Amino acid sequence: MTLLAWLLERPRQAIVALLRDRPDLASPVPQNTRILATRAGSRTSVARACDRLNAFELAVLEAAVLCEADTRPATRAGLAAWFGPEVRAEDLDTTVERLRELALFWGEDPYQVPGAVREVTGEFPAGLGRAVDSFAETDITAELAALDEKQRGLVETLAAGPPIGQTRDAAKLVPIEQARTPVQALLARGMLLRRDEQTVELPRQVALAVRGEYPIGRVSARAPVPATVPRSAAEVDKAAAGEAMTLLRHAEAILTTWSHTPAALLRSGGAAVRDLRKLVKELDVDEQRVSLLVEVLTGAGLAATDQDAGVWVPTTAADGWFAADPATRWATLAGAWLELPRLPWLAGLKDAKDRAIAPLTEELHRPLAPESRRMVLEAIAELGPGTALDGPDTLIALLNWRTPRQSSKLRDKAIIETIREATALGVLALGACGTPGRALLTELDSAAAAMAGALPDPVEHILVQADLTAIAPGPLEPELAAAMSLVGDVESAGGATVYRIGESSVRRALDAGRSAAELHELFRVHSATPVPQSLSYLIDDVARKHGQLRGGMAGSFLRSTDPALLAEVLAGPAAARLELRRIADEVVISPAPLVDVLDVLREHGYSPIAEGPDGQLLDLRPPGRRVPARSANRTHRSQPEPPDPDRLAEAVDSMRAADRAAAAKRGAAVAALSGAGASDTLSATLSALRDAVRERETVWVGLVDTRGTASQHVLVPTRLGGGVLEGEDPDTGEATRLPLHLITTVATVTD
Amino acid sequence: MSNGPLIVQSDKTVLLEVDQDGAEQARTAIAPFAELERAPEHVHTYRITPLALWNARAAGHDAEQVVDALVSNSRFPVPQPLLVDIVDTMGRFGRLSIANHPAHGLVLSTTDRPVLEEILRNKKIVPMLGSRIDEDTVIVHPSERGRLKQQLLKVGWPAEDLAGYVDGEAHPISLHEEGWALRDYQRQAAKAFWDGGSGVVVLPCGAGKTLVGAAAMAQAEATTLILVTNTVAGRQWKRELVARTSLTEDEIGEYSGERKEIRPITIATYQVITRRTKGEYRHLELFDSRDWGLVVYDEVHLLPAPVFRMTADLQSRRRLGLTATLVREDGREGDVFSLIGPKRFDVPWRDIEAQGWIAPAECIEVRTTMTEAERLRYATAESDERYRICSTARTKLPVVRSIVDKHVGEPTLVIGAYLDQLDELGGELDCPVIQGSTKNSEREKLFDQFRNGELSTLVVSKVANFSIDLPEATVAIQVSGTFGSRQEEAQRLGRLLRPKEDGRQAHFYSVVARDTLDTDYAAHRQRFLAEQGYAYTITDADDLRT
Repeated sequence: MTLLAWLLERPRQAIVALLRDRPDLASPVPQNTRILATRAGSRTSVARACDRLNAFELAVLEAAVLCEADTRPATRAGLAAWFGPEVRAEDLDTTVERLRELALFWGEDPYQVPGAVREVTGEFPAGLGRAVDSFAETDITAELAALDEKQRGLVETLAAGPPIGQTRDAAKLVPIEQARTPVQALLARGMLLRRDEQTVELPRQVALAVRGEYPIGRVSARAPVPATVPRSAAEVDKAAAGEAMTLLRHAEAILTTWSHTPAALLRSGGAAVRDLRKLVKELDVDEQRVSLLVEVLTGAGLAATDQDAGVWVPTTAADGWFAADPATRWATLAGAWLELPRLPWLAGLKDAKDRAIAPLTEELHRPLAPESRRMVLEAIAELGPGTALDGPDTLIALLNWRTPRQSSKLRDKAIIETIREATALGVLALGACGTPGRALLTELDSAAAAMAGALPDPVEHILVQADLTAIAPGPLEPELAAAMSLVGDVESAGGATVYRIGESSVRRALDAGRSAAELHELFRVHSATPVPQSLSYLIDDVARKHGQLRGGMAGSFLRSTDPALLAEVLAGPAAARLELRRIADEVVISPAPLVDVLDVLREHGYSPIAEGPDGQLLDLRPPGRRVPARSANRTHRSQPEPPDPDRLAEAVDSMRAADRAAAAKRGAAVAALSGAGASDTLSATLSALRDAVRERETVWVGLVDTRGTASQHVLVPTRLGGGVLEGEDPDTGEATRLPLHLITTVATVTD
Repeated sequence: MSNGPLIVQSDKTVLLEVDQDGAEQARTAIAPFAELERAPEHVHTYRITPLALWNARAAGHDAEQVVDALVSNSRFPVPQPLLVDIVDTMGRFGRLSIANHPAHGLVLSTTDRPVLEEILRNKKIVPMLGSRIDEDTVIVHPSERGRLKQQLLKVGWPAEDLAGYVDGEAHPISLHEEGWALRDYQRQAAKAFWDGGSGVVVLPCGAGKTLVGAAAMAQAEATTLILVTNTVAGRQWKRELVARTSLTEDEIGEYSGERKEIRPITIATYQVITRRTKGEYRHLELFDSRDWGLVVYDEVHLLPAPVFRMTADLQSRRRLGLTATLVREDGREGDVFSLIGPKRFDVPWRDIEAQGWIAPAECIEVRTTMTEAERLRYATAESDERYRICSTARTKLPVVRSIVDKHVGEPTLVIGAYLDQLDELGGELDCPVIQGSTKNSEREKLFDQFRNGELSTLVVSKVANFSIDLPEATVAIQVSGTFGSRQEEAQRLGRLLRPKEDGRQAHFYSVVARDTLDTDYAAHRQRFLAEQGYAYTITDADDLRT
C-alpha cells in the first residue's frame, strides 16, 4: 500500500487533524490527496514533523528505519524487538498510533514509513553503523570477550553512538600481530571498519551485541519528571511583583534618559556602546540587563530608531505607556518579551568572528524564539501553583526528551537564559510561574489584572524629614510620583523611594510652572508627618529668588533718556507697525530688525541713530551689491586610484576559475533553472549529481550566488546531502562546498 | 502584603520606619551587618556594605541569618540580586586567614587555592609577603599585617585575622564605680569593642566616650597609650581617669609640647607626635617606647595622616577609636576603619537623648538681613572673600547681643572662625575672647571661671571645637565656621550635650546672613545633625527681638 492509497482511505477528521498537526502541509492548501501525499513524503516536511517528536516517538521511527520500513512493510513485532524490557506494549501502540496520525507511519501492522524518514534520521539511525555481511558466521560475543580493556572501552563508546570515530590509526591496515593501538587491533580483527584514512566505523552487529537487551539504546517511553520544591504561591507572586516593580523603574529610567539624550544609532543597527554603558552606570545594573531592557522596550514599540537623526528614541507609544497603571505597563513589557522574535541574552556573547554581539542588532534575530520561550515557560507553568523548579538541569532533561532533535548545548543555555530573563521580567519568580506569569501565557488580557493583584497597593502619602528628604514608603500614585520627582531628586529607589529636596530641585519645580504655594500644598496634603520648617523655608527662599531676572526675544530696541519722547513714539502710528512694546521707562523693544525700525521712525519725522554692541554709533546705510567669490580652477584627477592588492587577487582567482571551467569539455547539460517544469529538471540535476558522486565523475557546475553573480566550477563531487554538494578540485584536491539551491546547471565533463 | 518596618532598596540601603511596629526588633536584627547612615525623625537609613557584611561574618553571623533578617522584616519583596550579592560577598570572607604559625611566625593561609594564587599575582600585595611554605600558606612580614589586611580588603578577599593581639605589659586598672555606674550603652560599646578586638566606637558628644575608653582599659589591664587632640583634652582625660579608675596621678604621664613623660598610661597629643625635627617624625618612637597593650585614639575623625601610617604597623596591638562624628571632610573614613578597625558601636543621638544621658537640645537658625551696603560689598567681592564677608556681617552683632540677653544668667558660648569678628563680639558683649594665641594657663583660668559661674559668656575661636569640657554651657551661638563642615557643626552642638543638673534644655543658635553663601554653607553644615534627628527651627532675627 502506498501513502497515497492509505491517505485516501483515512477518515476526513484524520486528514483535518493531520493538517492541523503538520501545518506546513496545509500551506498552500493541497489541491488533491496526491499532492498531499507527495508533500507529506517530502524531506523538508518530514524533517519538520520529526523536529516536534519526543524522544520515544523518534526512537520508534528510527526502529522503523532499522526495520527498513521505508522500502518494505515492517511488523509490530519487528519494531518491538528493538526496545528494551521496560517499554510496555501499550506505550509502543500509543506511539505508533500517534505517528500514524502524523502520516509518518502508514498501514496496519505491517507498517511503512516515508522514504524521506531515512534521510531525516541521518546516516546512523539510533546511533548504529552499517551491518556487515561477513559477520554472519562469527560469534560476536566470543570476539567481544577476547578484547582487552582498552579495546572494549573503545567498542563500548562507539556502540553508544555515533558509531564512527576519527583516528590517525586508520591510515593503514596492519596484521593483528603488528597492531600497536586498540584501533589497529580492532581493525585487524574486523571489529572495526575503515571508512577512509581518518575514520573508522563500528559495524551494526557489534554495537547490537554490546547493547544487549536494549538494541535501540536506553530510551524511556515516559517523560522525565523535573525536580521541584514546594514554594507558597503567595510568596512567588510577591517576588514576581517585586521584580516587576524593578523592571518598570528601569524601563522608565531608560525611556526618560533616551528622551533627553537619545542613544546614537550605529550603522550595524545597534546602539552606541558608549550610550549603553551609560545606562549600565545610571541604573547600576549589568550589561546583560541593559540589553534585555532595551530589547524589550524596542520589542514593545516603546522605543525605536529615528533614522534621520541617527538615534534611538522613545516612540509616541511611550507616552501612553507612561500614563498607564503599573500592572498594564508590566503586561505590555512582559507580553512584548514573550513574543519577541529575538534572543536578548545573545548580546555580549562572541560571534563566529570572535566579536561581541551587540544588542538591538540583526544578529539577535531568531524567528523561532517565541516558540522555544513558550515551551520553557509552559513546562514550568505545568508544575502548578505552589511548586517551583529545583534548578534548571531536570527541566533541560525534560525538554530534551520532549524535542530531542532541537537539543544542543546552545539550547541548554537558551533554557537557562530564558528562565533568567523570565525571572527578570517577573514572569517567573523563585523558580516558579506566578499567577501573573500564568495569566500571561494563557491570556494576555488577564495578565495585567493578575499583576495588579500581586503588586503592593499604591500609597498616597510621603514622610518628610528635617534633613530635607521625603520618603515614599511604597509605590506612589502616578500623579503624586510625577510631582515628587519634579520637586525632589531620587536618591534611592526600590520598594520605597527616597527623594532629596534641594535648592536645584525646588527651582526645577518652579521652572516647570509650579508656584511656591502649590509646593507647600503638595507637602501639606501628602506628608503623613508635620512638614519640617526647614523645607518650608527652602521653598520660600528659592521662590523669592526665582524669576528676578527675566529674558525675552526682541529684534531691536529703542532707548532714550527722555521717557516722554518714548511715550510719544508709542502713541504715534509707528508703534503699531513696528509692534513696539515698552519694557522699562527708558526702553522700548520691537520684533522688527533695527534697519526697518529706524526707517519707519525716520518716515515719521524722528531722527534716531543706530547703536552697535559697544554702544558706538553704527552706519546702517546699505553697501553696494556683491556675489560670493568662487574658487578658481579645480584640479582634476587623471587616473583612478588602483584598488587594493587583496581585491585584485580575488578578481584573478575568479578569472582563473572561470577559465578552467570554460576549458573543460562538457557533456549534456542539465539546467536547473526554475520556471515551467522546474521540479523535473531539479530531480534531473540531483540524479545527475548523485550519479557523479557514485561514479566519482568530474562535473561542471554553474551557479548564481545570492548576490546574483554567476560563477562556474569544475569538481569531483564526493557527497550530496543536507542541501550541499561537496566535492574537490580535480587539479588541486581542494575541498569545495556548493549550496544546491544556487546551482543552475550541471554537466559532465568529457575529456 | 506584610507590614514589616523595613524596606530594602535595590541600591543596598535599608529604610527603617521607626514608628512601625517591630521597628526596634528589626533594628537589632540588621544592626550586625548594616551601617547606620542617617537617623532623622521618621525613617532611618542603613546601608549594607561589603565591609559590614564581612564584619558580621567575623562576628559569627552567616549569610542565611542576614538574608532571613532582611526577608522576615521586609515590607516589600527583597530584590533577589541583592540577596545573591549578600551570599556571594559573605562567601568571600575567610578564604584567607592570617594566623601565627608555630615555626614560621605570621602566615597567610587559604582554604581556596585559586584565591591565594590570585593574591600572589597582585603587584601591590606580593611585596608584603615572604616565601611560600606550602601550596596553601605563605609567610607575612609582621610589619605589613595592617597594610596587607587593607590591601586584601581592597581586592575583595578580606582575611580573617586569627593572629590575635599581644597582651602588652600588664598593668592593673579597674573602674571605681562609686556613686556612679557605667551606663548600658557604654558597657555595650566597651563589650562590642573588646569582642571585636579593635575598632571604632561612635557616641555623641557628652555621652561619656572617655568612660568607654576607661572601661576598655579596665578590661585590658595593660599599659595604654592614649592619643588626644590637644593638651587641654589630655588633662581632662587624666582628671577623668584619676576620678573614675584605680589609677593615680603618678601612673599617668603627659606627652605634650610641654612635658615628655612616659608612664604606664601615657596621654600624648596628635600635635606632638606629628611634629617633625629635621624632617623626621622623632616622636613616633613613642609607639615603640613601651609594650602597649591598648592604644586609644580620641576624636579619631581628626587622626592625622602620619599617625595613619604608624597605625598600620600597630596591628598586633588592640586599638580603640572614639568619635562623635565619623564624617571626615577628607573622605578618609575608609582608612580609619581598615587601620583602627571597623565601626563596632553606633547609636542614634536622639536615642541617647531619649534615655536622658545627653541634654535635649534645640537648634535654631537665626536669619539676619545684611544692610544694603553689606549686600553690595558682598555682591561685588571676589569669590574667595565672599564667605568671610557674609559670615562676619556686622548686622550679626546686635542679633548675638539679643540672644545673649534672652538667656541671661545661662552659661553661653559664642563661637566663630574669624578673629576680627570675635574681637568685635568680645567688645560688644564685654567678655573675654579665647583664641589660638591664648596661653594654656590663661585658657584654663578662663575655663575655670566659666565653670564656676564667675563668667557667664565666653567668645571662643575654633580652638574650642574639640575636647574642651565646659560642663554647664547651655547656650551656644555660632556666628561663623569652617565653611560647610558638618562635623564642626556636630562638635559645636556637642559642647552643649552634657546633661544639665536641672535637666534644662540646651539651645544651639546659628546666626546666618540671609540669601548668601552663609545660608548655603549652613544648610550643608546642618546635614549631619539633621540626619541624627535634630530638626532646625528657622527664625528671623527681627522675630527674635520681639
